[in-house]
Amino acid sequence: MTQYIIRRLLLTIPTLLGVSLLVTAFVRMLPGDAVDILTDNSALQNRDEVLKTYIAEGLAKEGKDPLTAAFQDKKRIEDGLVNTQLQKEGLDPAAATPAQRDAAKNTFAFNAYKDEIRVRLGLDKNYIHQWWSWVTNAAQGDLGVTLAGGRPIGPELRERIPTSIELGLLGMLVSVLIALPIGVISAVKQDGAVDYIARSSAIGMLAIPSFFFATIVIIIASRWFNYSFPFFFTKVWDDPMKNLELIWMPAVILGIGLSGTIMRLTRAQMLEVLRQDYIRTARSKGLTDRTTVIRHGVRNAMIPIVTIIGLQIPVLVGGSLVLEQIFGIPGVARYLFTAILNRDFPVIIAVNMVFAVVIVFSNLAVDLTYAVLDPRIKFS
Amino acid sequence: MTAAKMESTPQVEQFFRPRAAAPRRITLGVVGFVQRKPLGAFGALMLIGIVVIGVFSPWIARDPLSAQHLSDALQGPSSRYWFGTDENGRDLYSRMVYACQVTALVGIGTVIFVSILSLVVGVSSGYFGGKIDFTIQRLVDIWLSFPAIFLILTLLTVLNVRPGISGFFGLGRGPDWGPQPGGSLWFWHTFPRTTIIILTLGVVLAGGASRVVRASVLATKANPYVEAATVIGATSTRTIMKHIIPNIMPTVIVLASLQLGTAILVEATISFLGQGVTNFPTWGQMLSGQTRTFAENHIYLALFPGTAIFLAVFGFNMLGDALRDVLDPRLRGSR
Repeated sequence: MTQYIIRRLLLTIPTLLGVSLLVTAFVRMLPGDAVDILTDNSALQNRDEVLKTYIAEGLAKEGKDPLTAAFQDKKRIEDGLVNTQLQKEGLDPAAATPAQRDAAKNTFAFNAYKDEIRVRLGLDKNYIHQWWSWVTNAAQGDLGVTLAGGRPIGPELRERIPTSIELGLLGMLVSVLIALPIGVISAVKQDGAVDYIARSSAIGMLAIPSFFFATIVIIIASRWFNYSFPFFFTKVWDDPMKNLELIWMPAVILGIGLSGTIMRLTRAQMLEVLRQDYIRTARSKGLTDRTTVIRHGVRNAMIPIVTIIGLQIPVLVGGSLVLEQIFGIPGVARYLFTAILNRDFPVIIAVNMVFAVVIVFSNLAVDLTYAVLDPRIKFS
Repeated sequence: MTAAKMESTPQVEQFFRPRAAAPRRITLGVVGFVQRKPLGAFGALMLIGIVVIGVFSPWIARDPLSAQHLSDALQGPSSRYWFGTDENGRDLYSRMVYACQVTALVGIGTVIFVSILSLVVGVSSGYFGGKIDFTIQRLVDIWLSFPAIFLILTLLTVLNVRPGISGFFGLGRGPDWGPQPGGSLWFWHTFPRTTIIILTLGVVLAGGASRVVRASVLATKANPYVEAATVIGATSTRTIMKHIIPNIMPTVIVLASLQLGTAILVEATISFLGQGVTNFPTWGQMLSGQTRTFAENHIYLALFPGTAIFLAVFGFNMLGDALRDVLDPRLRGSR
């Protein structure tokens, strides 16, 4: 058993490295990097600044002091830069119109400015290099800073992770509270009307898109109950009631979406367990139906159900994105969504890694729980 | 050997009874399926309906694709606008009819792609075993360690076409030419624009599916007839094509039908997030952005597309369940 745990833990390392490498590769493939998006409007405002530094460089090469150099020298160097840019674009510098010269000046400044930012952010290196420097930094607990704004990612994640965990746990709780009783009743009354309704509604819960559900809930609340959910998020340790006022509805919607799967599995497991010999023994011993089902049935059916609940964690993570977006909850999923839109590479890789760690370890925990709950299973 | 020479037991008679002619057999099968699984039949009907509406959308819709009636904006359902109009005065019914194209293409395309990809991965992992199996399974571990929706969003941003950027190898742009029945874009316009989504969803969904296929291959491989085929010198290719794949086909079909619903639900979600097909109406998109603010006072704007998604996904899940009960009872309870 210990050997098995150690082997599984060792296997997570290549998995996590692979995930981070893949994320890096994906992000580097994104058309247009963060610099393009960052510099959309600001680059041209800095045109003169950029040109000044390049002119100063050129003057220094000729051994002149940029502060005291003559205007003609500066003009000559600037013209040289513009001419190179014009040649690059395939135009004849001598025949270019003033408008073309101006455009070339803009392009030159724009590209120079972007290159400068790329060097500053380390985006000029190849992605294997970027990936490795990220991995070594992350191993030391430094997740880097966002490309847009330069805010550190670690503290931001520490703010957001508890919110996401709260939403996920509440959703899980709701789904288990809905799914377990209905699943058990549905199995006990197999092929009855209750069973049929429960099974159909379980598929219905799987089928209803959470964004549609949330939209309808918000509309109904505002139109018929004259109520609107809070606009601003309050942290749970600042004011639990205010926090819950916003978060309970998304949690319920999340839970309902999940409960379909759990309910179906509960029913299938209960049906299987109720056919076992020990159930017949319990019945013939004279136990009531209630005791038989609860003490001998449910407890044995729980093993695979626990694992399925654990395997829902990735679904939870994905499902919460839409709800965080609609209800304005500052969770991890939304952070990543914004980062993808902004091509904010360090954030994308950091958050994806957080998710990967959660998923890998929840899978491991599920397997181990399985072994603990069911002594017949032996890992070697 | 003929039936007459054998001892006449009911089983033998059953075995040698001539089978009904093909058309009649199919009719009987369909009638039996409808009687035993009415909700599954409803799902099949939804699927056929969406495909037919999608194919004939330019003739079924009442308005051309881009028609606006600004003076009639935000009108409730009426005899002129069956499902009402949105904030730009576009007929919601017509737009939902056009959106069937995207639903049908994404649903069916994804399912086909997932089936092929999971077959390739699952069969090569399960059949060859050993080191190949180990390596592939570790790769699948990585594959499954991404939360699906983010893998989708990241891939879509990588592959998708945005204004001014030509996208991944120019995929997903599609032609802007060709006949336009009823003044509307037809499949040759829609299909290239959905390819990116089909590829993305396919790659993401195939990870889990390949595990199921692998398990099924392992079970089939343990059968004596596979061993027998190997003993008489059949090559791996022949064994896989003649013995393994035909025997795991029921599993693949059931998986595919269950994934049809998932694919459509996920497509609707990414459209809602604004990352799906652009410049063409889709059901998810109709619930997103500006429309949601208008829906507060005009609830039909949300109600019609939302119900359409719900009914489609519900029907396809029911169809998948029914097919599973009929074709592959072993899979019961796997979801």
